[in-house]
Amino acid sequence: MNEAELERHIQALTLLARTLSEPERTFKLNEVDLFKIQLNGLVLEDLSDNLAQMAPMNTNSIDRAITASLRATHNQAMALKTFDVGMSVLKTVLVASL
Amino acid sequence: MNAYKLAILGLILIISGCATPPEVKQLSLKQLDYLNVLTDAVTIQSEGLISIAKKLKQQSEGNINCHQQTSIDRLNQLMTTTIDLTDPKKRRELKQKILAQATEINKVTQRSQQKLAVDFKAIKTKTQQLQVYLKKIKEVQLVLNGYIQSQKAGEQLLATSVGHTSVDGFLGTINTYIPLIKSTSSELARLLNVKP
Repeated sequence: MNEAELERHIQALTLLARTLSEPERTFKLNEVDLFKIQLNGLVLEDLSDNLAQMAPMNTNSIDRAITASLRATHNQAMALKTFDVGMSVLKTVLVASL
Repeated sequence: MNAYKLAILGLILIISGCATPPEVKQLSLKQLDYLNVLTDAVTIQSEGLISIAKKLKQQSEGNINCHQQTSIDRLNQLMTTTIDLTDPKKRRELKQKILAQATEINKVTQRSQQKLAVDFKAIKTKTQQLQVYLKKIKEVQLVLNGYIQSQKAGEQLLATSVGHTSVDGFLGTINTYIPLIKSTSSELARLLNVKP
């Protein structure tokens, strides 16, 4: 049942309830209003359910990966520095031998 | 001899592997721009979504209060008519029915208001999580970009060690050196102080 059909159904029930005599008239009209209250409570449910389908977004694992990368980059920089020194020695030796 | 040829070759391979093509560097920089655009778009969309959800919530809360009040007013009106009932049993039964429905109306109203609040909070939370996640993705790209753009990855090594800023230039120089290094292994070993 779509929204328009639902609205028509509610209106039909309301008209029917108004044809009754008291106290049934009051009780039935209130039942329709109870239904409307429940419908209004569900207004955001679809949207909330849709968003709940999004995959969990855990940023802790990303933080760990970033930290590991920065550490690795730093270590490589240190290794390259050490390599620099070694290369300088090699270069000096090669140039001297030529 | 072969060991030293291999060592030189290994050095060439390592250094040539360190150099990042300029196109990759440019793409990495561009990715930061793309992520900025995406983050802005998601922020605007998220704010819009929360704004609409808030309006819907307020509207629904108003409707709920209105229906509740209307229903209670009807019951109050009905309650005044019970005085007209002569039969005490019927009068009692009617009063009980009125009270039961009033209780149910208040219970359903409270439940519906709570449902709205819970759903709205869930929408806000998920939306904010998405924005935080995007920020993290940007941070990842910043770290990657920092490394990709870094000269220390290879080109500075060349500049420091052999005075070249490009791999091609360095390879050219190595090619002229290799024939000269083709001496006996013992002589090279002597120079490097390494056993052949």
